[in-house]
Amino acid sequence: MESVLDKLSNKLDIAFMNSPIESASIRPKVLIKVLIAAAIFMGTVQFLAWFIANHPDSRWRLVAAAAPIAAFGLCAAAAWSSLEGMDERAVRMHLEALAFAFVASLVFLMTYSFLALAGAVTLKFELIAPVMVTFWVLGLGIGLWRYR
Amino acid sequence: MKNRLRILRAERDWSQQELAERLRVSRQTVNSIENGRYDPTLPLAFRIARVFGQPIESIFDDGA
Repeated sequence: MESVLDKLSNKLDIAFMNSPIESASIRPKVLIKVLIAAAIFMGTVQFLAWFIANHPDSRWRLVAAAAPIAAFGLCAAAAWSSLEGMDERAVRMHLEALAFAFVASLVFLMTYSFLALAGAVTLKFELIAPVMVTFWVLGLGIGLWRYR
Repeated sequence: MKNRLRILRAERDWSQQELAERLRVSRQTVNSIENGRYDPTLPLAFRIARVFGQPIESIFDDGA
């Protein structure tokens, strides 16, 4: 039986295929998977922070601390699965976008860390993933323009 | 890299979508190659050559 998620994804896929941004080749179904995985990761991190703050003596502290790693693995697998089924140009665009996101995030975070030393508000580590995703999307935009 | 993809496609009266399906790539990829924005990999270049029944060097020109 088709799940609600599948139904929604298929509808979005049809709308997406008729849209001018189809050339990005990011199927909404995959995007939804990535967003769900990212939400699980963020949720796990929030739970971890709450758990450690409220159960400082629990023997499950170490297990809880490792939970985000599994969630991050899920996130990475969902992102990587987005490359399946794409043609070579789309794969190239995505890999270039990932490379761009990696370097841009590194530069951004290192620069911001110096600003923090000078008194700027300290960046929470939970924001690193959204920063990378933002640069990834920006990198895809650059790829779309480059291979238009 | 310059190529004759658009000319060869027009000679056969194929749409970009039709050619894309024959090459098993997206229409946008065909468009990018035709506009010279994207250079195909060797396997795709071979597929293009087979689809048009011509040698690769008669379709693509690297200007050398």
